[in-house]
Amino acid sequence: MTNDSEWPDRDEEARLLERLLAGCRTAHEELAVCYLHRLCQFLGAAHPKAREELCHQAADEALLNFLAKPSSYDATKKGLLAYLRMSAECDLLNLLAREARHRPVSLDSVAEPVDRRNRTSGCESPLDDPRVAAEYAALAPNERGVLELMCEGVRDTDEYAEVLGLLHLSAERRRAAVKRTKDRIQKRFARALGDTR
Amino acid sequence: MNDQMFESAADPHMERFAHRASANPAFLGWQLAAFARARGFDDAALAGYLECAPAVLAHVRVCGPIRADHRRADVTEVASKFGLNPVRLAEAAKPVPAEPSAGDTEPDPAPAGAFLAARDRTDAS
Repeated sequence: MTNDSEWPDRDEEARLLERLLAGCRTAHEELAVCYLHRLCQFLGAAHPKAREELCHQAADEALLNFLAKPSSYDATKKGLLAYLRMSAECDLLNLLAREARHRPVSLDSVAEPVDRRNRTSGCESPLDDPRVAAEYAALAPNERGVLELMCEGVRDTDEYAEVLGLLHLSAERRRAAVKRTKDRIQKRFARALGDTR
Repeated sequence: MNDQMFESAADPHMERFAHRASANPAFLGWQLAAFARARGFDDAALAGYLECAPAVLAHVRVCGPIRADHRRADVTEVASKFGLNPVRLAEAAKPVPAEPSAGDTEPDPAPAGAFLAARDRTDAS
Protein backbone atom coordinates (compact mmCIF):
# COMPACT_ATOMS: atom_id res chain seq x y z
CA MET A 1 0.00 0.00 0.00
CA THR A 2 1.28 3.44 -0.79
CA ASN A 3 2.61 5.11 2.29
CA ASP A 4 0.65 8.23 3.23
CA SER A 5 3.87 10.14 3.77
CA GLU A 6 4.62 9.81 0.06
CA TRP A 7 1.50 11.77 -0.83
CA PRO A 8 1.36 15.56 -0.80
CA ASP A 9 0.75 16.75 2.74
CA ARG A 10 -2.32 18.78 3.69
CA ASP A 11 -0.60 22.11 3.10
CA GLU A 12 0.63 21.11 -0.32
CA GLU A 13 -2.77 19.67 -1.15
CA ALA A 14 -4.46 22.93 -0.11
CA ARG A 15 -1.99 24.97 -2.14
CA LEU A 16 -2.56 22.93 -5.29
CA LEU A 17 -6.31 23.03 -4.87
CA GLU A 18 -6.29 26.76 -4.30
CA ARG A 19 -4.31 27.29 -7.49
CA LEU A 20 -6.67 25.09 -9.45
CA LEU A 21 -9.77 26.83 -8.18
CA ALA A 22 -8.18 30.23 -8.74
CA GLY A 23 -7.93 29.37 -12.42
CA CYS A 24 -4.18 28.84 -12.70
CA ARG A 25 -3.65 27.02 -15.98
CA THR A 26 -0.63 25.05 -14.81
CA ALA A 27 -2.31 23.76 -11.65
CA HIS A 28 -3.86 20.89 -13.64
CA GLU A 29 -0.41 19.69 -14.61
CA GLU A 30 0.96 20.04 -11.08
CA LEU A 31 -1.87 17.97 -9.69
CA ALA A 32 -1.45 15.34 -12.39
CA VAL A 33 2.27 15.06 -11.67
CA CYS A 34 1.55 14.84 -7.95
CA TYR A 35 -1.21 12.25 -8.01
CA LEU A 36 -1.17 10.17 -11.21
CA HIS A 37 1.53 7.66 -10.34
CA ARG A 38 0.65 7.56 -6.69
CA LEU A 39 -2.94 6.69 -7.50
CA CYS A 40 -1.75 3.87 -9.74
CA GLN A 41 0.49 2.53 -7.01
CA PHE A 42 -2.35 2.77 -4.53
CA LEU A 43 -4.74 0.86 -6.81
CA GLY A 44 -2.12 -1.76 -7.60
CA ALA A 45 -1.53 -2.37 -3.91
CA ALA A 46 -5.20 -2.35 -2.96
CA HIS A 47 -6.22 -4.59 -5.87
CA PRO A 48 -3.24 -6.79 -6.64
CA LYS A 49 -5.28 -9.02 -8.96
CA ALA A 50 -6.36 -6.13 -11.13
CA ARG A 51 -4.34 -5.70 -14.29
CA GLU A 52 -1.91 -2.81 -14.27
CA GLU A 53 -3.52 -1.39 -17.39
CA LEU A 54 -6.88 -1.19 -15.62
CA CYS A 55 -5.29 0.51 -12.61
CA HIS A 56 -3.73 3.08 -14.92
CA GLN A 57 -7.01 3.64 -16.70
CA ALA A 58 -8.88 4.06 -13.42
CA ALA A 59 -6.31 6.53 -12.10
CA ASP A 60 -6.54 8.45 -15.39
CA GLU A 61 -10.30 8.64 -15.21
CA ALA A 62 -10.43 9.73 -11.60
CA LEU A 63 -7.90 12.47 -12.17
CA LEU A 64 -9.29 13.62 -15.52
CA ASN A 65 -12.78 13.85 -14.07
CA PHE A 66 -11.59 15.81 -11.08
CA LEU A 67 -9.44 18.21 -13.11
CA ALA A 68 -12.18 18.72 -15.68
CA LYS A 69 -14.76 19.42 -13.04
CA PRO A 70 -13.11 20.47 -9.78
CA SER A 71 -16.41 21.83 -8.50
CA SER A 72 -17.58 18.22 -8.06
CA TYR A 73 -15.18 17.96 -5.13
CA ASP A 74 -16.40 19.30 -1.81
CA ALA A 75 -13.43 19.95 0.46
CA THR A 76 -15.68 20.19 3.51
CA LYS A 77 -16.68 16.55 3.15
CA LYS A 78 -13.44 14.77 2.41
CA GLY A 79 -9.74 15.47 1.96
CA LEU A 80 -8.55 15.55 -1.65
CA LEU A 81 -6.35 12.52 -1.16
CA ALA A 82 -9.22 10.43 0.21
CA TYR A 83 -11.52 11.73 -2.51
CA LEU A 84 -9.16 10.85 -5.34
CA ARG A 85 -8.38 7.44 -3.89
CA MET A 86 -12.04 6.59 -3.51
CA SER A 87 -12.85 7.98 -6.92
CA ALA A 88 -10.05 5.98 -8.55
CA GLU A 89 -11.03 2.85 -6.68
CA CYS A 90 -14.65 3.17 -7.81
CA ASP A 91 -13.50 3.77 -11.37
CA LEU A 92 -11.43 0.61 -11.13
CA LEU A 93 -14.43 -1.32 -9.85
CA ASN A 94 -16.47 0.01 -12.76
CA LEU A 95 -13.81 -1.20 -15.17
CA LEU A 96 -13.63 -4.59 -13.47
CA ALA A 97 -17.41 -4.90 -13.55
CA ARG A 98 -17.48 -3.93 -17.22
CA GLU A 99 -14.82 -6.51 -17.91
CA ALA A 100 -16.70 -9.12 -15.93
CA ARG A 101 -19.77 -8.62 -18.08
CA HIS A 102 -17.74 -9.53 -21.14
CA ARG A 103 -15.81 -12.42 -19.69
CA PRO A 104 -16.89 -15.88 -18.52
CA VAL A 105 -16.51 -16.31 -14.78
CA SER A 106 -13.82 -18.73 -13.72
CA LEU A 107 -15.27 -21.45 -11.53
CA ASP A 108 -11.91 -21.76 -9.89
CA SER A 109 -12.30 -18.36 -8.32
CA VAL A 110 -12.17 -18.55 -4.59
CA ALA A 111 -15.28 -17.23 -2.92
CA GLU A 112 -14.24 -14.72 -0.34
CA PRO A 113 -16.36 -12.86 2.15
CA VAL A 114 -17.27 -9.32 1.26
CA ASP A 115 -16.32 -8.08 4.67
CA ARG A 116 -12.75 -6.81 4.55
CA ARG A 117 -12.36 -6.06 8.23
CA ASN A 118 -9.85 -8.80 8.81
CA ARG A 119 -7.86 -8.29 5.67
CA THR A 120 -4.39 -6.94 6.05
CA SER A 121 -3.20 -4.22 3.77
CA GLY A 122 -2.08 -5.54 0.41
CA CYS A 123 -4.14 -8.74 0.50
CA GLU A 124 -6.40 -9.65 -2.36
CA SER A 125 -9.66 -7.78 -2.38
CA PRO A 126 -12.96 -9.62 -2.84
CA LEU A 127 -13.85 -6.82 -5.22
CA ASP A 128 -11.23 -8.17 -7.62
CA ASP A 129 -13.57 -11.11 -8.15
CA PRO A 130 -15.62 -10.30 -11.27
CA ARG A 131 -18.76 -11.78 -9.69
CA VAL A 132 -18.42 -9.47 -6.73
CA ALA A 133 -17.59 -6.51 -8.94
CA ALA A 134 -20.66 -7.19 -11.09
CA GLU A 135 -22.87 -7.44 -8.02
CA TYR A 136 -21.40 -4.22 -6.68
CA ALA A 137 -22.22 -2.50 -9.96
CA ALA A 138 -25.84 -3.51 -9.55
CA LEU A 139 -26.21 -1.98 -6.07
CA ALA A 140 -28.15 1.23 -5.55
CA PRO A 141 -25.96 4.22 -4.64
CA ASN A 142 -26.97 4.20 -0.98
CA GLU A 143 -26.37 0.45 -0.81
CA ARG A 144 -22.87 1.05 -2.12
CA GLY A 145 -22.41 3.54 0.67
CA VAL A 146 -23.49 0.90 3.18
CA LEU A 147 -21.14 -1.65 1.65
CA GLU A 148 -18.25 0.80 1.82
CA LEU A 149 -18.92 1.30 5.52
CA MET A 150 -19.14 -2.46 6.04
CA CYS A 151 -15.83 -2.89 4.24
CA GLU A 152 -14.29 -0.25 6.46
CA GLY A 153 -15.52 -2.18 9.48
CA VAL A 154 -17.78 0.62 10.70
CA ARG A 155 -20.09 -0.55 13.48
CA ASP A 156 -21.91 2.63 14.37
CA THR A 157 -25.55 2.28 13.27
CA ASP A 158 -25.94 6.01 12.82
CA GLU A 159 -23.27 6.13 10.14
CA TYR A 160 -25.24 3.59 8.14
CA ALA A 161 -28.50 5.39 8.88
CA GLU A 162 -27.02 8.61 7.57
CA VAL A 163 -26.05 7.00 4.28
CA LEU A 164 -29.52 5.51 4.01
CA GLY A 165 -31.27 8.73 4.97
CA LEU A 166 -32.85 7.13 8.02
CA LEU A 167 -31.65 9.43 10.77
CA HIS A 168 -35.19 10.69 11.29
CA LEU A 169 -36.33 7.27 12.52
CA SER A 170 -36.36 6.21 16.16
CA ALA A 171 -33.23 4.44 17.33
CA GLU A 172 -34.95 1.09 17.33
CA ARG A 173 -36.44 1.39 13.86
CA ARG A 174 -33.18 2.82 12.58
CA ARG A 175 -31.26 -0.16 13.92
CA ALA A 176 -33.72 -2.61 12.41
CA ALA A 177 -33.70 -0.90 9.01
CA VAL A 178 -29.91 -0.78 8.91
CA LYS A 179 -29.69 -4.44 9.86
CA ARG A 180 -32.16 -5.37 7.12
CA THR A 181 -30.12 -3.51 4.54
CA LYS A 182 -26.83 -5.02 5.67
CA ASP A 183 -28.33 -8.52 5.67
CA ARG A 184 -29.81 -7.99 2.23
CA ILE A 185 -26.48 -6.86 0.81
CA GLN A 186 -24.62 -9.77 2.39
CA LYS A 187 -27.15 -12.22 0.96
CA ARG A 188 -26.82 -10.73 -2.50
CA PHE A 189 -23.08 -11.19 -2.46
CA ALA A 190 -23.32 -14.63 -0.95
CA ARG A 191 -25.69 -15.62 -3.79
CA ALA A 192 -23.39 -14.09 -6.37
CA LEU A 193 -20.57 -16.20 -5.01
CA GLY A 194 -22.66 -19.35 -5.10
CA ASP A 195 -23.28 -19.61 -1.39
CA THR A 196 -26.85 -20.84 -1.06
CA ARG A 197 -27.01 -20.76 2.73
CA MET B 1 14.24 25.55 -21.57
CA ASN B 2 13.05 23.14 -18.93
CA ASP B 3 13.77 19.84 -20.64
CA GLN B 4 15.64 18.40 -17.70
CA MET B 5 12.86 19.38 -15.36
CA PHE B 6 10.34 17.32 -17.36
CA GLU B 7 12.43 14.26 -18.04
CA SER B 8 9.77 12.21 -16.33
CA ALA B 9 7.34 13.09 -19.13
CA ALA B 10 8.97 10.36 -21.18
CA ASP B 11 7.09 7.95 -18.99
CA PRO B 12 4.42 6.25 -21.06
CA HIS B 13 1.67 6.58 -18.48
CA MET B 14 1.97 10.35 -18.37
CA GLU B 15 2.05 10.39 -22.17
CA ARG B 16 -1.13 8.34 -22.30
CA PHE B 17 -2.77 10.50 -19.68
CA ALA B 18 -1.91 13.57 -21.74
CA HIS B 19 -3.41 12.04 -24.86
CA ARG B 20 -6.61 11.25 -22.99
CA ALA B 21 -6.67 14.78 -21.67
CA SER B 22 -6.36 16.00 -25.25
CA ALA B 23 -9.74 14.46 -26.01
CA ASN B 24 -11.32 16.61 -23.31
CA PRO B 25 -12.04 20.32 -23.82
CA ALA B 26 -11.13 20.97 -20.18
CA PHE B 27 -7.45 20.71 -21.11
CA LEU B 28 -5.03 22.68 -23.21
CA GLY B 29 -4.30 19.46 -25.11
CA TRP B 30 -7.74 19.80 -26.72
CA GLN B 31 -6.80 23.14 -28.23
CA LEU B 32 -3.36 21.93 -29.26
CA ALA B 33 -4.84 18.83 -30.88
CA ALA B 34 -7.20 20.97 -32.97
CA PHE B 35 -4.31 23.16 -34.03
CA ALA B 36 -2.09 20.17 -34.85
CA ARG B 37 -4.86 18.60 -36.93
CA ALA B 38 -5.39 21.82 -38.84
CA ARG B 39 -1.66 22.11 -39.58
CA GLY B 40 -1.07 18.40 -40.13
CA PHE B 41 1.48 18.35 -37.28
CA ASP B 42 2.56 15.23 -35.47
CA ASP B 43 3.91 15.46 -31.90
CA ALA B 44 7.45 16.23 -33.01
CA ALA B 45 6.28 18.98 -35.34
CA LEU B 46 4.02 20.48 -32.69
CA ALA B 47 6.85 20.44 -30.14
CA GLY B 48 9.11 22.06 -32.71
CA TYR B 49 6.53 24.72 -33.42
CA LEU B 50 6.13 25.52 -29.72
CA GLU B 51 9.92 25.37 -29.34
CA CYS B 52 9.99 22.71 -26.67
CA ALA B 53 11.21 19.13 -26.42
CA PRO B 54 8.65 16.45 -27.34
CA ALA B 55 8.76 15.14 -23.76
CA VAL B 56 7.52 18.50 -22.49
CA LEU B 57 4.41 18.28 -24.64
CA ALA B 58 2.69 15.80 -22.33
CA HIS B 59 2.92 18.26 -19.47
CA VAL B 60 1.73 21.15 -21.60
CA ARG B 61 -1.27 19.13 -22.76
CA VAL B 62 -2.55 18.52 -19.24
CA CYS B 63 -2.65 22.22 -18.39
CA GLY B 64 -5.96 24.03 -18.33
CA PRO B 65 -7.17 25.47 -21.65
CA ILE B 66 -6.31 29.03 -22.64
CA ARG B 67 -9.38 31.13 -21.89
CA ALA B 68 -10.52 33.77 -24.34
CA ASP B 69 -11.05 36.28 -21.54
CA HIS B 70 -7.68 35.63 -19.85
CA ARG B 71 -5.72 35.00 -22.98
CA ARG B 72 -2.58 36.98 -22.26
CA ALA B 73 -2.23 35.85 -18.65
CA ASP B 74 -2.93 32.22 -19.46
CA VAL B 75 -0.46 32.10 -22.34
CA THR B 76 2.20 33.80 -20.25
CA GLU B 77 1.70 31.41 -17.35
CA VAL B 78 1.96 28.26 -19.43
CA ALA B 79 4.71 29.51 -21.73
CA SER B 80 6.83 30.66 -18.79
CA LYS B 81 6.55 27.40 -16.92
CA PHE B 82 7.45 25.18 -19.86
CA GLY B 83 9.75 27.47 -21.80
CA LEU B 84 7.46 27.72 -24.83
CA ASN B 85 7.37 30.45 -27.43
CA PRO B 86 4.43 32.52 -26.12
CA VAL B 87 3.45 33.94 -29.49
CA ARG B 88 3.22 30.49 -31.00
CA LEU B 89 1.39 29.09 -27.99
CA ALA B 90 -1.16 31.89 -28.35
CA GLU B 91 -1.55 30.98 -32.01
CA ALA B 92 -1.84 27.26 -31.28
CA ALA B 93 -4.36 27.74 -28.51
CA LYS B 94 -6.80 29.92 -30.36
CA PRO B 95 -10.33 29.11 -29.25
CA VAL B 96 -11.95 26.16 -30.97
CA PRO B 97 -15.74 25.83 -31.11
CA ALA B 98 -16.04 23.35 -28.25
CA GLU B 99 -13.82 25.32 -25.89
CA PRO B 100 -15.36 25.09 -22.45
CA SER B 101 -15.94 27.80 -19.94
CA ALA B 102 -13.60 27.65 -16.96
CA GLY B 103 -14.59 25.45 -14.06
CA ASP B 104 -17.16 22.83 -15.03
CA THR B 105 -16.16 21.24 -18.25
CA GLU B 106 -16.97 17.60 -17.95
CA PRO B 107 -18.22 16.62 -21.38
CA ASP B 108 -19.91 13.27 -20.83
CA PRO B 109 -22.09 12.15 -17.96
CA ALA B 110 -21.38 8.74 -16.46
CA PRO B 111 -23.28 5.91 -18.08
CA ALA B 112 -26.35 4.68 -16.25
CA GLY B 113 -25.55 2.08 -13.64
CA ALA B 114 -21.94 3.14 -13.27
CA PHE B 115 -20.41 3.71 -9.87
CA LEU B 116 -20.54 7.23 -8.64
CA ALA B 117 -16.79 7.02 -8.04
CA ALA B 118 -17.13 9.08 -4.86
CA ARG B 119 -17.44 12.18 -6.96
CA ASP B 120 -20.56 13.38 -5.28
CA ARG B 121 -21.93 11.12 -2.69
CA THR B 122 -24.80 13.39 -1.76
CA ASP B 123 -26.18 13.08 -5.26
CA ALA B 124 -26.23 9.36 -4.82
CA SER B 125 -28.84 9.09 -2.12
